[in-house]
Amino acid sequence: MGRPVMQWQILAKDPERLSTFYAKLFAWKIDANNPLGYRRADTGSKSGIGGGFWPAGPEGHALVQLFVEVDDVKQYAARVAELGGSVVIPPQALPAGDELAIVRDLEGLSFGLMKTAKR
Amino acid sequence: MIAEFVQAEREPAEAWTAREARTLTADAASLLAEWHHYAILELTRLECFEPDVRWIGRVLGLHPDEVNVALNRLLRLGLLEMSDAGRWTDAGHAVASFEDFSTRTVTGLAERVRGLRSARALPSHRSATTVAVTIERCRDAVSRLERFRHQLVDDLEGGGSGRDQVYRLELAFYPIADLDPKEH
Repeated sequence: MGRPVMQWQILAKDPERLSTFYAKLFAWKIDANNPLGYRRADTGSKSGIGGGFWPAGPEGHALVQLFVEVDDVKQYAARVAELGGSVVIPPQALPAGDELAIVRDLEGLSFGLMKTAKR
Repeated sequence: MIAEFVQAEREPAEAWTAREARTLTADAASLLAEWHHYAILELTRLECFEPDVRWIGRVLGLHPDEVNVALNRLLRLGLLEMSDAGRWTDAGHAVASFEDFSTRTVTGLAERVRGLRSARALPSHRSATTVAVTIERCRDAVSRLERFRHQLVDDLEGGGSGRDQVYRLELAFYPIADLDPKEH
């Protein structure tokens, strides 16, 4: 299956404002009607990868994260720590059945590990 | 602009760990200062709980983004766990009161910051035990700890050249409750 980059995510201090900006710019459709209120961006194309917008919180700052698909989120999160990275949010099971962890690499860049539920 | 980019790219590793520690500390402060974090954990205990930020937002009168920011903080400090699809639990099931919540928040912060320091997975050890003892055994224990510390330091320093780490050894043994009625 490989371990492809599956998704981008923009963390924004004001995700409503920023997602509206991108929607206006690229005619993307934003849909937040899901249990996590996650603003999914429909780019209107089958090319490229999908993504979405998430609140960074008042103490956070705007940034882009990439999500890599793995077959075992716990195992890869442990591997990140073994290689000298760190785990920001330990593996969690999201409402739709996807699994996710947020980790940091050696230079402090955060990225996601995800396992998509079979639908 | 380019200079700022280059500067950001060259940020030393210490800088991001310090920034992460500051974010975690801010998380902990928000958890203790803003009522809805504890309220979310309380909600997860209800039978009618729905793992849906729209539902939580309606119940607590918050915008879904505010709920998500709170969830991020709870997850980062290890107070909340999304264990199975649709099941959110108070991690460790240890929060029974706001006092527990405060303690767990501070403990979670300490664990996460310690984790940042040991991000290179260097060997370390930290443990604690509470025991009921007699005063005679305490005196003996203090002497033994002193001897142990000297012996261990001698062993550690005897490794020859090529030292590449600096470690701190801390031993603590102290009274937390005096159960002897004669003393009062």
